[in-house]
Amino acid sequence: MSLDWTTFLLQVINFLVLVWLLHRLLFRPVLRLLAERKAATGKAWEEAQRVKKEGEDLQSAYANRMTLWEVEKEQSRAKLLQEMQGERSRLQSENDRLMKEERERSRAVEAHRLAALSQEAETRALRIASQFASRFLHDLATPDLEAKLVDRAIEEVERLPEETLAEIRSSVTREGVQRMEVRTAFPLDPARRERLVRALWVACGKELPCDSLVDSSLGAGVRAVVGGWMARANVKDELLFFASKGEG
Amino acid sequence: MLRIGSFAVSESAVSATALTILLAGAAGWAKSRLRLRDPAGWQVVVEMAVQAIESTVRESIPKAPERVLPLIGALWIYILFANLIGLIPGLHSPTGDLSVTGALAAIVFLAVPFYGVRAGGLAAYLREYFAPMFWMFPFHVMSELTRTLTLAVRLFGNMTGMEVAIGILLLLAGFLVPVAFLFLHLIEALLQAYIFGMLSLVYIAGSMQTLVEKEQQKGGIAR
Repeated sequence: MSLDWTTFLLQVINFLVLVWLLHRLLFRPVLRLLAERKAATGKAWEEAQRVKKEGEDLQSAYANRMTLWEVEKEQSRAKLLQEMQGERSRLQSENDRLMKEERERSRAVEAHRLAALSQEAETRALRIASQFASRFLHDLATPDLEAKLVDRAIEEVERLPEETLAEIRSSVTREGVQRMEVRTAFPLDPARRERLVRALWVACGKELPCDSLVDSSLGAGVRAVVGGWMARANVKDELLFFASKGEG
Repeated sequence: MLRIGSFAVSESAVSATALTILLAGAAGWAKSRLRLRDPAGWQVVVEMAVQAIESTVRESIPKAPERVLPLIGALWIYILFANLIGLIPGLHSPTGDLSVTGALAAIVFLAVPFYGVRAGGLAAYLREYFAPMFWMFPFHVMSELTRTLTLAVRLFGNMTGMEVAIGILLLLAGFLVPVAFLFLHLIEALLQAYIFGMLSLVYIAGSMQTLVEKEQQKGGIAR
């Protein structure tokens, strides 16, 4: 337990050198390294915070964009619905109009068809009636019927209004009619023929010579022709008239 | 004693110098292999040790721990390894030599006024020796000397006593019995290194802190 000054001094020098070396080689580099690591960690942390904030900002912006997009979508949807409603209304109106036109057309076609059917039925009925009447009147066509028809013709000629008589007379004069023709189904008795001729003379205003002909196709009755005018009261012409009415 | 020409060097001085060279070499090796990213296992241990030393110093001297850190860190590391050398058969701890521990204590003794003057100035530091009354000066000086002496003798006594005890046990009880005492030596080595370094830190911090607090009360901090 003695103090050796050489050892003491060497130890002092040793230790001071060691302090200096450890400071240079250990403490300072390690502390600097720790500080750098801490700074790097802090920087990384700040970067992470910045990235996090950016992410949050982006998320917020995205949420805002989504909200705006939702609003825009709703507006577009409302607009589209409105347009669709308008288009539907327009199409509905167009459809209604077309339907109405179609109904009108169908109604017209149906009415036309019904009219045609009715006309056809009427024509057919008249044809049948004409055939029936023709057959029926053919059986009834006798001199007595003819006498009645001639009397009726005489009465009709005699009852002609003045205007008609003036037209007949004018026509006879204008056309220069020289003869008149009287056709009957049966031979006409002289008295009745005389009455008829006189009535015709009065009607045409001239005493024209008369050709009397028998035409059994008339069935019964008389047909008198003076130029363009004709006086008829016979079964054939009546049936033809009746049939022509039926033909429309 | 080794003789280099006419110059006689003690075994403790040789082992202390060798330890200094080893520690400096290890520090240089470590420095060249420090990595900022993906540190190796040994680097993690070194970083943890340095950080522990730094935080301990900072707790005692919050204002300027970097000033005292090299000295206190070197004391802890040097004394720890110096103590542990004694565990290697055939070698003796340099700290088992009073000249070595005395040198370390003397360095601490000089470091206290050095850091104290640096922190508060020479006048303020000297004024502390006359506080609270001028006749307290001899007691302050005696206190400085005795605590330095106790530093040196405590470390020397503990390490010498432990080595002697283990040597006696080896002579008396055979080969395996002292193994438990080797573990005790390990703990003792750690504990003594810690105590020496911690007391040195407290002494230095005390000289700095008192002055700093007084300067703060006056309205300025000397750097």
